[in-house]
Amino acid sequence: MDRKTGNKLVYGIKVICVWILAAVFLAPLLLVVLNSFKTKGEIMTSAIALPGSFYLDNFITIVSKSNFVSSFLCSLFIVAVTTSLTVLVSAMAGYSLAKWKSRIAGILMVVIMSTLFVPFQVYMVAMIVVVRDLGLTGSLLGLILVYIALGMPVPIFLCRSYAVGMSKEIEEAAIIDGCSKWTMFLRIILPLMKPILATVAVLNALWVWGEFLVAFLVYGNGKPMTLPLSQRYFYGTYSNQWNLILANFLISSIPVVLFYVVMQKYIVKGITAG
Amino acid sequence: MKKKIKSNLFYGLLLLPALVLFVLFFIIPVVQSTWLSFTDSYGMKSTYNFVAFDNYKEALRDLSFKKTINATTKYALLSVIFGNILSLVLALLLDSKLKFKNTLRAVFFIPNIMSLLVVGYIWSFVYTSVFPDIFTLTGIKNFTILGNKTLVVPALAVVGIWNAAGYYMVIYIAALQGISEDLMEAARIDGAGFYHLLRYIRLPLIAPTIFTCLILSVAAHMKVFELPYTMTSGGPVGMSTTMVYKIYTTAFNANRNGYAAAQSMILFIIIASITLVLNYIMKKREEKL
Repeated sequence: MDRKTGNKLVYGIKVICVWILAAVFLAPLLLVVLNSFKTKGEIMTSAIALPGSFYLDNFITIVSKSNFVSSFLCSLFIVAVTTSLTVLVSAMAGYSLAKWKSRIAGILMVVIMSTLFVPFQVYMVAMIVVVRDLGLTGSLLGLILVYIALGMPVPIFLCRSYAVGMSKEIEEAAIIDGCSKWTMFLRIILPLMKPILATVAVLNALWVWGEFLVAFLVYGNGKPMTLPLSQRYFYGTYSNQWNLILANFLISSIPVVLFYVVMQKYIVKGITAG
Repeated sequence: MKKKIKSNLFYGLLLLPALVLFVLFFIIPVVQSTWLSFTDSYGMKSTYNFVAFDNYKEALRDLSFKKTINATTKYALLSVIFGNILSLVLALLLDSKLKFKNTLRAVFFIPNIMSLLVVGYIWSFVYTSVFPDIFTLTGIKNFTILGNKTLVVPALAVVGIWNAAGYYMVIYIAALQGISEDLMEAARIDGAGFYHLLRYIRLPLIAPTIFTCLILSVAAHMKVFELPYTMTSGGPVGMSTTMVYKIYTTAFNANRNGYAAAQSMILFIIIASITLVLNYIMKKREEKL
């Protein structure tokens, strides 16, 4: 066997392996799609057979009868507010930590880094007590504040590293031109940090959109529900009606998959930067 | 002097929002949690007593809690080892020349962008409706995977791996792409085959990344909550009750905040020790080079 046919063989094996793995990975999602188009009876008979007809009633039921639309909008709102504030807060803090030559900044940097090693689950019980003492249980404001607090350590860290690499001359030129430090920050620094801020925003939005545990504990039975909370509620209410449950998952996952396809570049950048 | 104060004020104010949130929602809860773990705090009651190490002693005697440590480490061990192997294999496959490479990467990454809650529900459908149908075809009847004491944790680990594989794959691909092509080419010219390239060039060069992924995935899998919550409610007979699920039920169903806080501290100590050991091994390895 010469080298060329050997290479071809290796390539062939690789292709087969990767497509088998891809099929295994996609199978659960494919089953979600298939069964969203079935009636309850069809699923009971067989969960793996193809749907008998192009049955759309599940989707109509979800949109018209459940609180899908309101929780979808609620999650959209939370993501918009949380992500923009997280980006702003982290950009400010990261820039300050990078440029402030003071001992406080140094100490704070170490302390903020330490949060990366303490998962939320470790202090979640006390977190509920704190949120309750602040009178924020069940409020959107409370949930958003906790999301920003939990979501900001990595972004602050990334923004700091980015700001360290920014040249001082631009800032000095701006100050000489008569800009105040604040205008300089808003007009010059923030736009300069755009690449890292976009990365941070995309990852943060994905996290907030699908987050369940924090919302469950901090926001609980608040109204309107976030999307994951409504999915839990929906599962509880329609237990065993998998046709409806899966159809719900399908329509609520489509936006996030589209978001991924569009933002793929930033997601990969964000993961590898972190 | 005035300029100095002004500049300090500017940088201080920039830090302020992050600092306030950080104190409110990190420092205070962490301190509070540590303090609560030494008290008998119960539910909404605002008075409680200092009980020293009683909660910790109880945890170490409590068989149902020890069982959760067991289930969690078993779950994490399976997910970390097989998950990282799978991610690495995927990265190696997708780092080479291949048609539809980007589509395939997306396929492996999509489970990761879905909410863990939804992932849990989807797989509970797979385990409770799809598998029985497949089993019926092959003649096996009345067999439930999630109801099986030995299989339930591996079944959850499969879901954990499915969800996380794409994430670590992306990290491994980035690391593999960082290896210089000249080096690989030189080795190829010297007659190195796939195995030798892997064993003597690629794996050693991405070793730091492997350690990073191990550390990240240990922490991520040790704190699993959504999967037992959605798929098994910790059953059968508590075999799939993970530590965070246990902390959740202790605090919010049994209302025993103090005891739950002590359980949380134990979870933290376990995660921190594993991380430190992995870090130590990594440092040792780097020194040797």
